Amino acid sequence: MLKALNKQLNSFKHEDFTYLKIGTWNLTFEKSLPEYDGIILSSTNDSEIEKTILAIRTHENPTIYLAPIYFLSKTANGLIIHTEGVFNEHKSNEITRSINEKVARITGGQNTAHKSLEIKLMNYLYTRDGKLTPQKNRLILSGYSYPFVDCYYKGEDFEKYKLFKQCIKNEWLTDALEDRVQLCVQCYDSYMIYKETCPKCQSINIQAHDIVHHFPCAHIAPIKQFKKEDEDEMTCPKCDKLLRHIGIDYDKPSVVFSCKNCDNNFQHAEVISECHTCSHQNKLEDLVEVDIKAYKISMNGIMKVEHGTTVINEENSVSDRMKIFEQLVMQEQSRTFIAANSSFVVEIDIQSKLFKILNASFLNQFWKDINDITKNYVSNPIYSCRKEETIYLLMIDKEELAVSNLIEKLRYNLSILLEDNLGSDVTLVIKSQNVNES
Amino acid sequence: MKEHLPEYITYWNEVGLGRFIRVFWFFVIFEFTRYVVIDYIILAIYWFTSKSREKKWTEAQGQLFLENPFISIIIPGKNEGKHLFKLTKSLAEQTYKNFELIIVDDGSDDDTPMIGRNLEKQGLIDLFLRNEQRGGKASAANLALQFSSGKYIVHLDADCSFDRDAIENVLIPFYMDERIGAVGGNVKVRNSENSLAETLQAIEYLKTVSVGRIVTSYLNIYKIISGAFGAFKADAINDVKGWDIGPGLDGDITVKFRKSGHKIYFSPKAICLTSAPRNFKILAKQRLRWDKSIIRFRVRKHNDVFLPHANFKWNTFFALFENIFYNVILNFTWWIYMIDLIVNFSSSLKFIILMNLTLYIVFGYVQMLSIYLFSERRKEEMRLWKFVWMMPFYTGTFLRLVRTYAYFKEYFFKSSYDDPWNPHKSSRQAKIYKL
Repeated sequence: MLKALNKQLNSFKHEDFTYLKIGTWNLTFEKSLPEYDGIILSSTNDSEIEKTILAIRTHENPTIYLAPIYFLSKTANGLIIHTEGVFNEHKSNEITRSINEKVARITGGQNTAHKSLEIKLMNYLYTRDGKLTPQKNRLILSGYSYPFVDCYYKGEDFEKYKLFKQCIKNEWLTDALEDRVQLCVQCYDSYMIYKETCPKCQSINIQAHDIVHHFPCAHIAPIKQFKKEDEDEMTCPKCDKLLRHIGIDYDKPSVVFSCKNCDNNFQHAEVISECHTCSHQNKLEDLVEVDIKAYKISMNGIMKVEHGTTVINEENSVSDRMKIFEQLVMQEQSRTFIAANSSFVVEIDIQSKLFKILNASFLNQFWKDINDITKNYVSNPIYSCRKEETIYLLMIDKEELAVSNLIEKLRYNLSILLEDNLGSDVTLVIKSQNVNES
Repeated sequence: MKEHLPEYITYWNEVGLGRFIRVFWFFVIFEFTRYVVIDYIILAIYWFTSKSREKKWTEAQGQLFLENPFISIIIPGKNEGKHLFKLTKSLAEQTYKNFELIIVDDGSDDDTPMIGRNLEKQGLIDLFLRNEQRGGKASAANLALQFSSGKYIVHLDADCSFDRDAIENVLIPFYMDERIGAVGGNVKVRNSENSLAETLQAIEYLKTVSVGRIVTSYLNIYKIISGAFGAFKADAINDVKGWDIGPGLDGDITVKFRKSGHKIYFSPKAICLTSAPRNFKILAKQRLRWDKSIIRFRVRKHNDVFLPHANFKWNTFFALFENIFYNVILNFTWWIYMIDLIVNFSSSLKFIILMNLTLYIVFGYVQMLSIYLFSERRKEEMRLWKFVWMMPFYTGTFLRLVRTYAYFKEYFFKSSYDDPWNPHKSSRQAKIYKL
């Protein structure tokens, strides 16, 4: 079979399937690719392979980005996770058949372009085994990469979590905790070296000593005082008695570290997590904790792929609230106000890198807290809604000054809350607009 | 009662001085002489020499702050976590600042480790050491000593608080006389108004510690540096190899210091307030432990101070002799005195008991006067005057009974080795080696 493959430069026919063999990627392949059942990567050049895989998987045409891809021979290339593996004459045709049947179901023979990555991901999972399992990868900051998805997020390691979050929110995916990684607070790398250090000078040049307590005379000291060099016997330096039996005439009640750098003595060495990439010395309590999850396409996800709709459509309810909000704003615009009062739309926009990596339950609680705080400060009847990271408040019949004061108060209190929960890496923008001036 | 008063007065008028001394020989020979005559003579000398002493004190104070030695404050204890924060606050207020604070948790089974580690992390404690297995107070103190680096070691109890200049005042005597190896602080009872037991102990502490130790220190027979507050020269305490197993380890180490040739000094200005047992039951337990230690350490372990040998020292001899004589021998002599009264004066007992009581009450107030003269807290201690009449019942009866029982138990049964104050593993070994 392999001989036959080598004889034909670009195409390879095996049983009922025809594969396009690609060595070096060029744009002319795009046109001919839909005519083939699958692709075989024949190059041994890693950058050529990468170029080819990324070009295929990030294409807008579903028959191209969902195409089965095989490596010609065994490889250590990490990008294999985005393919169906090494071509196997017994199994690969079956995989190709299954994928292509599902692709046909999605496209219905139509040549449509897919731009939304959420949809593309659903389609990919639908045509594969429905599972998106994180793969250990030392080259990725979080230490894990995801098949297919990582083709889109090269260099933007945490953007993909936003995508997963959205799919979970849409109920297209279900998730299961696979691992929990701790990341450097400075560069978000997961490759850490843990060290016991002196709590005073942070030196790693520390030594642990057993403490020995001699019962008869109450002498207690590091073991080196009891033991002479090259001797197994222990003698009490206070009463010169031989220590015979642990638990009977002596014991070792504790351990004390001594620092050879600053002579500090201590019982609890400070564990420091040094980032292998940026060398930042993280305290354990400062490390950023991220849940690495495995995802699985849900019934809603399958319905979305097959029929273009879902049973429960959370997105609709969000957009419904926005629609109501917009209608209310329009009503307010047509109102006549007494004195100098008016209605205002207040936008509270919160941006943080952490949103991409925090788990859904924490984020839900976070937005709930933000909502509660805003309610505490806005006593007038209002309507509010949230779209992504922006909360919209409609304030009715207010003086401009009162609105400005309220915004200041909100800014002050939200800043404290945000800093407490998310640290300094957060941007808060609050602005208001008079509905009659928009 | 009133109708018996003339009869009582007539009786004592007719008795005469000779018979009076015969009847109250115990009081006249031992107690009045020792606690009134000698005390007042010494206190008078102390009073008259106060100017020169003050001058010496001021010079020593200057030297202390000029040298500003680094000192180690060590606090061994079990389940003392609840006191630690207050203690660190009390020490942070001290006028003497150049110290490290080392706390040893001797196998606590409460929140002490968590509290200690937390305070260490906050920098309020310099070193917090914990022994997972309890080893007893002596081993905990010795562990702190191992890791201390100060020129002087100040040993404290965790439940104490201190006057702002207490640490300074316990260090100054080292600069008055370089032969001084250890200095005892002045321990007083805090919250003496809480219960009758605490009130009576407050008076007792003032008599035996605040004033009693001025006298014994002046006579150079001061024999116990309280574990609650004492300071030691670091090299001297290392020479005597730290504390030996207790109970009564504070008295024991004082004797060890004396035997090794160091002078012991009492610093009345170094004030420490401690919590006394809140009721008589707890107090009895504490005193049983203390009293047993006199037999164990003074009578048995350190009885070599009475023997002629190369290191024999008269002041150590007298210090321990006074201690054993007034505590042990006179305690048993008192019972002989009681028998003497019952056998020889049975017909006059009703007058004798009343007179005895009168004598001891007057004696108590005379002693209280000396306390008043030397106290720096006269106003606060004023309320104690109205309780002084109870002291004959407290010291003369309650404490005497406890003491007799303790001596009996220790002398015949060595029961201090069974005291749970020390872990059994340590006591068993100490008993084997007669320590």
